[in-house]
Amino acid sequence: MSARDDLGTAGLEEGPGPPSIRREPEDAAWVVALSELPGVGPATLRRLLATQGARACWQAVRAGRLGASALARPGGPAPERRRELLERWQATARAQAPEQDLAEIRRRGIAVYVLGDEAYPAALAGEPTAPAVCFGLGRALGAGACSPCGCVAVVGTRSSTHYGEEVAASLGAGLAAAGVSVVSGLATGIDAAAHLGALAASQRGAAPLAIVGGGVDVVYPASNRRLWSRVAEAGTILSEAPPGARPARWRFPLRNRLIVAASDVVVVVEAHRTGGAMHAVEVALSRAVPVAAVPGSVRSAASEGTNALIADGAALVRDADDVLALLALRQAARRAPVHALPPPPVRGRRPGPGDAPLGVETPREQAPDGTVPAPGRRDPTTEAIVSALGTETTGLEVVLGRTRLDLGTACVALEALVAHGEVLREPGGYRLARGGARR
Amino acid sequence: MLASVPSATLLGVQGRPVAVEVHVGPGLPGFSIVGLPDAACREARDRVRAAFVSSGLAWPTRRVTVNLAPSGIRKAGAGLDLAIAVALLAATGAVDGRAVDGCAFLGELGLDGSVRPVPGVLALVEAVAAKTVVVPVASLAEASLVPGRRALGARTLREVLEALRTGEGLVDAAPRPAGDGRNIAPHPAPDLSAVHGQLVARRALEVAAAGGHHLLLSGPPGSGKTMLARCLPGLLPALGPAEALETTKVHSAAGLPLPASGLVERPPFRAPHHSCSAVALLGGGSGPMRPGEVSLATNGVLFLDELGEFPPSVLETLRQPLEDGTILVARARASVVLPARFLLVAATNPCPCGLGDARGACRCSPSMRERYARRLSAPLLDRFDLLVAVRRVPERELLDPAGAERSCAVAARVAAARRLAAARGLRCNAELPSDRLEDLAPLSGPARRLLEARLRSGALSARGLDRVRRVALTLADLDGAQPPIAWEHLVVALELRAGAGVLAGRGSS
Repeated sequence: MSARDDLGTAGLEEGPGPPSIRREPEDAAWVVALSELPGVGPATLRRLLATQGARACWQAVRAGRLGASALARPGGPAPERRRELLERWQATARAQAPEQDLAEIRRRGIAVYVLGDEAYPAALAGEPTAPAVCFGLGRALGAGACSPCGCVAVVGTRSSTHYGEEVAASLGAGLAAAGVSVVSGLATGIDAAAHLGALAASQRGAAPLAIVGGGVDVVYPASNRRLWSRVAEAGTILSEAPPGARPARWRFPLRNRLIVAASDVVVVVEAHRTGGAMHAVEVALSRAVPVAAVPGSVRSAASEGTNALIADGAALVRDADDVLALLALRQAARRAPVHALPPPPVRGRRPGPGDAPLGVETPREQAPDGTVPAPGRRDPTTEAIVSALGTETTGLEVVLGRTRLDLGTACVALEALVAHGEVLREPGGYRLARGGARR
Repeated sequence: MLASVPSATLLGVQGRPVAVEVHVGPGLPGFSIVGLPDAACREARDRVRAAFVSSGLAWPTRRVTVNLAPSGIRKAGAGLDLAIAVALLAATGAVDGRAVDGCAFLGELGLDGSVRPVPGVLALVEAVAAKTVVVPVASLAEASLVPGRRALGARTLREVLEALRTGEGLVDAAPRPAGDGRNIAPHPAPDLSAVHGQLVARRALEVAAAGGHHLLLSGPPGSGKTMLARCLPGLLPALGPAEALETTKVHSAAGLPLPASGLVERPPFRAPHHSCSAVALLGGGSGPMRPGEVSLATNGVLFLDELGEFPPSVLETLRQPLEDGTILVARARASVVLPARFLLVAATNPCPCGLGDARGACRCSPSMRERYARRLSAPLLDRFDLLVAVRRVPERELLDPAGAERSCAVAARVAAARRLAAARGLRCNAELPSDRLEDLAPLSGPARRLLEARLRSGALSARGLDRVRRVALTLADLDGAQPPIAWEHLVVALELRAGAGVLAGRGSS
């Protein structure tokens, strides 16, 4: 099978308003069956359902009655390719038993939402390219918004740095604690960190929402298995891919549009100059969803994209409060376009560098005897080492270059600092513990 | 008429004595060689005949049978040519049979009657029982290394014939300077002063040279890993007499060019390309079982650049020689034990794009990184005592005119540390057996507590423990410190292993 949706990026083509599909009573089983046909993406499905009901359409596919012209569109597949595709569909449809398949999907605890249903997630209903059918795992998404306080997408690169992961986690925790639902894609890196943060606060916080590229029952990447089940427990995992669908490459850009659709604000924590996160940004801009970005080191490749966004005028995010302010503006603009802005959410004192980040309670490590040497009592070597380190992981080689110390002296001082919890040892180097040392 | 002349053939790096018997008898003129000769050896027939004719000697018009005894072992190569020719001369009565007594002959014959060098002369001379050995003049220096043998160099078959008739005319070996008078030319390795920055890697290199600890350098392309490794031979002390002889034997058997003195006195540096096959690495092959790169690097350095590009199956074969210091190459027809005691230095990129150590800079997907890391198995990584992350040196340091320390200064510290190891009865600290660790490298109290903490936290494996202690001992030796091992040295030893964590986030063990 080709690695592309047969209508390619046409999944993003929009009509004037939310799409409408022809509905018949009790036709969910056939909508699902159609979505399971090979290479069928959201656009193809909408196109199929625009003219006739799902049951009739499926029966036409199965009987080979569907004309190749049904798939015709400007720039679409060639006629012989369409015929070949229809033959494959027919073979697949013959092996399907829609009603039993639907019952089996529901028995496994997967909710099925068909566009036009009462229960169809409100978050997606307003989207111009809303999926004709989508599947949910975990907490049921009602017709209401998934969170009364709004939804914020926290997205970013998969090859993230510690810095990005920590910021994503603290944003996730802060937003969830403020009752904002954190939306992300359950990829590794920033996505995972954001949801881990949100889960850390979810006892009292808002439920997280994950929108994934493959079937909701297909854990990808496998390293996220535990996180996957925790999100499904505390919140919802949503996908327009039928259960069991492998996460094909063409689905991820389409998935990004749903993340944007479900969110009031998109926060990019770390992004390279190109990549999935920047694609989500493009979608957000085309949907007029505000984009905000977390600044990073100008030397970090993982912050090139986010820094460029800020330079281009994206809102700058330092912590969850910044996001909440954006959210209030957005909601105010939506609710009362002509009225004055509502007061922004109550902001506490801006946390100082010594404070634990929002929502993540990490008591600073202390030396075994409970003493952390006061800054004044430190010897010059230790002082030099501490000033050579930052919150980014710094290699020993760099430390030696900055301090001009010899290897033995530096190692000894670093070991002492690590033992006191002021410095963290990580693969590839050292960095200052949060809130440690520099006061 | 019958004549027998002693000679030898090569298997692995050992010579096997061979008696070359020639019988010249009545019958149709012919020449046959029996006694399991290989193709090159069987062709001696044509070479010997042409050499006879070129040297103005009459070729016997009778039936000539050459037997290479013992018949059961395979004779490889052309090294028996000269012995066959001399035995034929004796059998036809061209020379007196008594002149040949107690004299062995080694060498290949050219069609013009010249005597050409053959590989493995050192091992071959050792193998023959005769007191006098005639060898090609190009191999004379090498042959004269064997004590208790008189080596004579021959240029042509005619010269050998004259010498057998008159008792003189062959070249005698030049007297060898006594052990202390050795004047070893400095190694042509690049000087360490050309390496800018890289303080950690430089120290690791010094420790590797001093203690014989295997070293893995990991870092992005262009960070100087290869340059660093190539400096290593310049830091190692010259080989001792026994080591030099062992290495020379291997190099000679493999047919590598030897220095003019005939003795390899500098530690060898072997850097096979990553397309290297397992047989090329370990030795073997059809015929004489050529020593592989692990043996050629014996008493020296085996440098594997782009370790991750070597086929994993080839890398895994290194594990046993790394453990034993020898390799037994077994084949259906014969098996040989080859020396393989080398210092392994390897360089690798942390991931396919090479930037993996700087998190965030690398764009390799996690699965790509994982696949790359899987190429280096944990047991293989565990055999490295020093795992160091090398970083790209910033431009301003590259242009820093303040030169770094020169190789000779480091080499002096290395030599001093090696002397301390020798005083313990070891070749180097890396060979310190685990059961003598407590005895020779006891831990101070703080050092013991640090190790306990690392073991408890899982940052150090039991196997890694002994390696760290040996490295700490070498560090103490380099600093001239006495046992017990101080906390300071142990901290540095642990740090020099920390690069392991960079390799795809494997815990440093």
